[in-house]
Amino acid sequence: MKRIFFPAFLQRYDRKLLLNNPIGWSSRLHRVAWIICIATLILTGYFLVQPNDPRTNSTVYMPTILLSVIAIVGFVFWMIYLLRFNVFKRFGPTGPWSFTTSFLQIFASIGLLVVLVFIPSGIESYRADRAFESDEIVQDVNRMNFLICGLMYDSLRVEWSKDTVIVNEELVLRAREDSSTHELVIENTRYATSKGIAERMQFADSSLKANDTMYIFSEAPDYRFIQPSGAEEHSVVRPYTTREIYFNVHNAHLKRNSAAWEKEYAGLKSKYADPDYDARYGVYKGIDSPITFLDLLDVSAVSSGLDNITSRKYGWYGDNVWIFFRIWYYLSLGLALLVFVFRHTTPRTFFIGILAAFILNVLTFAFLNFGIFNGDGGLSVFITYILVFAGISCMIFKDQNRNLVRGIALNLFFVCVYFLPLLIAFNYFQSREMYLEYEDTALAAARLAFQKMVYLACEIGGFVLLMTLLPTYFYRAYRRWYALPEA
Amino acid sequence: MEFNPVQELLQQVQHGDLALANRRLLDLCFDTNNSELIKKAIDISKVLRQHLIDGNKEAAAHLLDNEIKRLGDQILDAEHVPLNFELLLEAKAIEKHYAKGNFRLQSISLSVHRGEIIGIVGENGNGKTTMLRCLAGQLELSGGALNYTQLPEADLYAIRNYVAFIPQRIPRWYGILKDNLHFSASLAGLNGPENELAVAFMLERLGLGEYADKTWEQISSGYRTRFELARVLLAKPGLLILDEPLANLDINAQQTILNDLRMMARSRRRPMGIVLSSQQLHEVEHVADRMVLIRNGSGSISDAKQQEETENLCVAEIETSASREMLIAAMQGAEVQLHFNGGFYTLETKEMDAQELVKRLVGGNIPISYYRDISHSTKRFFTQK
Repeated sequence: MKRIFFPAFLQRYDRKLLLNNPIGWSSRLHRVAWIICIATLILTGYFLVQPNDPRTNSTVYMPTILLSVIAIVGFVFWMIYLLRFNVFKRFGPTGPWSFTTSFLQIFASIGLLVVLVFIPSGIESYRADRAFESDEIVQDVNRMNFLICGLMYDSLRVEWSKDTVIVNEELVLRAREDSSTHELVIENTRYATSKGIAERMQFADSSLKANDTMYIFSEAPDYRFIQPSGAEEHSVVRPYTTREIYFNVHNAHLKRNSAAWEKEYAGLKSKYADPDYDARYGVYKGIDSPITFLDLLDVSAVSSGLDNITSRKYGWYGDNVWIFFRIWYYLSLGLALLVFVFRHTTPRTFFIGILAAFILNVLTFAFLNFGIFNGDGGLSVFITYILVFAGISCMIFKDQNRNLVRGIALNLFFVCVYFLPLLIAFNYFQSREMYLEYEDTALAAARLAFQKMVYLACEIGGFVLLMTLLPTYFYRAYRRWYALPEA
Repeated sequence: MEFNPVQELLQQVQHGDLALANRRLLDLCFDTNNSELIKKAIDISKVLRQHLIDGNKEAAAHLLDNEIKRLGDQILDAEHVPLNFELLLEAKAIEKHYAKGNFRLQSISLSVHRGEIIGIVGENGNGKTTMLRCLAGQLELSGGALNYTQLPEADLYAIRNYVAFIPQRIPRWYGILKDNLHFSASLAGLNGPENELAVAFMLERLGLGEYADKTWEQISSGYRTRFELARVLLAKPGLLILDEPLANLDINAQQTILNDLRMMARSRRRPMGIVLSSQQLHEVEHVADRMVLIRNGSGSISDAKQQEETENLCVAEIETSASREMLIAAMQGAEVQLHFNGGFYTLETKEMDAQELVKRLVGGNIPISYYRDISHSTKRFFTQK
């Protein structure tokens, strides 16, 4: 049969698989991979060339929704093809590793389909990343803040705020409520410990020691009209402090060239300002609300543009990558588990199993709300369920006929076993939380980092557990259960 | 006079039984286990098919005659392999009753050997399918035991792999029919060229070559049965169980498939035991070694030869426009039991043989449009009250 979407080499490979590897052929992974490759190329090309201004609000949700629908349709089509040729139900002489291979192929096929959904946001992020460097953004923000202050020098508030602090170690230590407090205000007078003074000196714009126990701290008005919107975290260039802006502007004021500054600012503004900003929000000013110099310089539009640029640019940086990865992973894994179960059981057992799991969850959460299972973190009940499912499924090896309850238990155990290490860890941390609630922040941060590491280990461990049980336990249990005679 | 297979083939060609000769030639080549010879037989079959499609029967006969002569002794190699009649399945007093409903399949014992065909007959709702599903390991027994003698240590999955069951309602196939066959062969461990050869052979052997690239919707129910048969045979089962395989076939197709089953069961290279159920009593009786009649859940096994020795009852069924009185008069006072089922009369007597019965009917001027001697047929049990 001529398949116009598949080139000759793929058809040859398809035939080779059909004749030699029925599991690989029936999973249709090679066809899914081919279609996704083509789709990815087309989509990448399209999203690379389509007009898309990184300064504007992201419109990625529209193509993402569209691609999600396409991915779902693709998934349904793939399922129809997958279920046509069910290796397991043909009673072929398959070995234990066939289960692992089959599961991984299902997982990979679904994973490839799910990947489609991430293409628009990935390309959008790539384009913003290519268009603007982090250093460039911070430098330009510094320059824009300087220019705004320079151009509006006469309108700026120039008085520095002053704060007098008296060192009184004993008073503060006696009166404070927790160990992190180093300053107190008593009857309009501010007192601090020596540690509090040191902290202030580190961050103050200016400080003056009036006498042995009195310090005067000064703070420049905030001249950071435009923020780098997180670009500073990825840049070696440091954003100016308000004090630095003040002194730079003050020093440059006498020899200023307003026309040149205006031109330069206009250039930077057009580089960063969100072109749709006015159209979206407009600038309505009533009688009592005069137009400020910030309005005249379109600072809000520039800030909006910068927010849009950075949210696109750093959408796929750092922790966000892990978030996207986990969305992809859990979506693919969950669907793969369900598809695998559907392929290895009867439709009746599968659907009754889904219903049973739903009812069990509803009842459990209802009881949890009444505090009935609120022992060690509450989640121990789910761990118990998994162990009970495992226990019931073991009885398959003694059964003389195909039992619906055992089949459901086997299916639920298969679907849930991956989550067992995660549930144990989550339950442990949840039960510990009540005792560690008032730890200091450094310890809490360390504990959070430790938790993250443990969860990651549990995610990997869950997968390893599943992969270990597939050829050793699930292969034997499913094989026997399906071959058992009906009552 | 006994012919060797080559002479037998040449005789068939000479008498115009080209399709039969072709199938026999394919079987003989398959039994040699010589892949070159099997390929040759497949090629001959393809050319022959084309000649027959073109209506050129003479060229087809010429081709077959020449090729058989040319292959000559090569196809006799398999004749040296002794026939294998080992025991495959022993069912000891098996019983089945369902939790819901009153039906009971009462104690039946049965053994199935390689090369043997067992026909199961009975009226609708009497338990034929239940019995077949019990034998196939699909239903839990309520009593008795099944012993798959060739699989002493096998688990249930291996048994289900070993016993092929073709239900009356065959589940739909998806995609190209040929792909399904390659897939099944691949699952059975036939890879690469071996897979290609096995599927090509099966397509030619069962006369499915023309339909290989079609889909399920494009073929008749008779061909669906044949494709399902091809699929399960590619899995190399030891025991083949078929539930009403003749139900969707015309009379010619019934004869062909029964003959095919007969030949496959007696294959020297891969002999099988076959158990099949059917309503087509006469047709099944022609090929079955033993018949099991199931009535109200209880079965009785008939061995045609044994019955021939032990029984001297003459039973015949006739279709006639004559009245009952005329028939009784024609019997000239002999003790004959007469049953009328609305279409046929069944005559039973111990006082005369079939020849004498016919003589009296003719002597009595009874107009007969149909006559059949069922003295040794299981069908006679259906007429008994």
